[in-house]
Amino acid sequence: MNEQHPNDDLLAAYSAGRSGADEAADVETHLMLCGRCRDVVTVGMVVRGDHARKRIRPKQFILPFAALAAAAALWMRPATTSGLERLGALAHPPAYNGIAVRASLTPGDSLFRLGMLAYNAGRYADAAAALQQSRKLGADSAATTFFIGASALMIGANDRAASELTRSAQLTMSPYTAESHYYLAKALVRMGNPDAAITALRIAGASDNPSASIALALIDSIQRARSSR
Amino acid sequence: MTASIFRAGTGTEKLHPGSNEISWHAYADGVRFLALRSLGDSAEADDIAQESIARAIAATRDPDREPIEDPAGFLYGIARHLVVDALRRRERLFPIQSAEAFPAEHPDALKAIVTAENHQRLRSLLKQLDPADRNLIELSFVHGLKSPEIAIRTGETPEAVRKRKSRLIERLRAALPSD
Repeated sequence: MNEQHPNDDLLAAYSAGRSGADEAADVETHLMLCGRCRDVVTVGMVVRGDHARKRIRPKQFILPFAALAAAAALWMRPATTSGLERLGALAHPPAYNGIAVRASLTPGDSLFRLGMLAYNAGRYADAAAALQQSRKLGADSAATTFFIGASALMIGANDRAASELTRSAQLTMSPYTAESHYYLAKALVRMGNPDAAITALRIAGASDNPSASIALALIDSIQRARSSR
Repeated sequence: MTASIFRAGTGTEKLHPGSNEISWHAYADGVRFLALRSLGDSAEADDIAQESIARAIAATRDPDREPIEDPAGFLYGIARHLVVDALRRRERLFPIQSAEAFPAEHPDALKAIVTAENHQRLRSLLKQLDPADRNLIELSFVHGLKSPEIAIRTGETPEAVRKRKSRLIERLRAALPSD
């Protein structure tokens, strides 16, 4: 191993989103000139993509009615166009503001906290697993459901994301209702179901949430992408 | 942003106004890779690579400017800001970055960076790995564990893990076409 390259441990940690910001900046500055290390990072991307596919199995989850309907609609849809696929992309994960909801932590709360640490570190498969476990232990809050869906969305497990975000969108008195509809729409776009996505976006667009205008803009983009097909 | 602690090839020399501008183009593939990783879009990544280099060249030509001490860090900063701007234009809600690094990996980055053929070749190689080697690769690239942490789990010495990991990475990397 050439001592001028970051070592394999550091490159792998960077690939996994486990390096600190300064370390990541050093690695990235190196990547600008080093094809060998870019290839190692690329290998890491393939490994993580493969791992996520193995790990997330939608049939393990109970789908609520609306998600079943969305899944059924998916069977009847043709393949998506690249324009629509782009509209399903996310530039940034849904934000978590880290507000504590209980004074004393139950085991479920502790797992929720661990899950959100993984989420904020960009380890979305780990986050989904921890949050799922926290829900089993009783931490069944609106945030748990929303961020299981958000984590699934970030790793491309779109059917699972649609299931969880549908459930999240149906919760009453949740601070995540409008965002759930918005990100549900992203999952539905990726799944090739723009009609259902537009329905979800109309609900998000009718809210007072800051994302409302973006939801309405996304409706326009979906309609334009469809008309250009 | 400090100068990178790692060096690679040429292009890290101090550049003065009027010095050889072609050096900036040596960074083009790298800037494009980092932009692709954050944006997942080839056309946007191409634009950012071109714009970053154009701005760096303009800075080099500015006679009033101090010599650029760290060309790689200088170009890196330009590219990172352009990527954040692109994300803001795309989603309008992208928060101001306080971190030094590029924004997190885009979910579609893999498709943008790896051709379907190379992706399939790498996946086939991964499937052929024996379970212990596959576990080592996943502990490294999925969970971000370092060799000493993996050694505790596998009962090997950290040096044995390091050598096995290095051999495996080289084997997987060989599936990608060299530059």
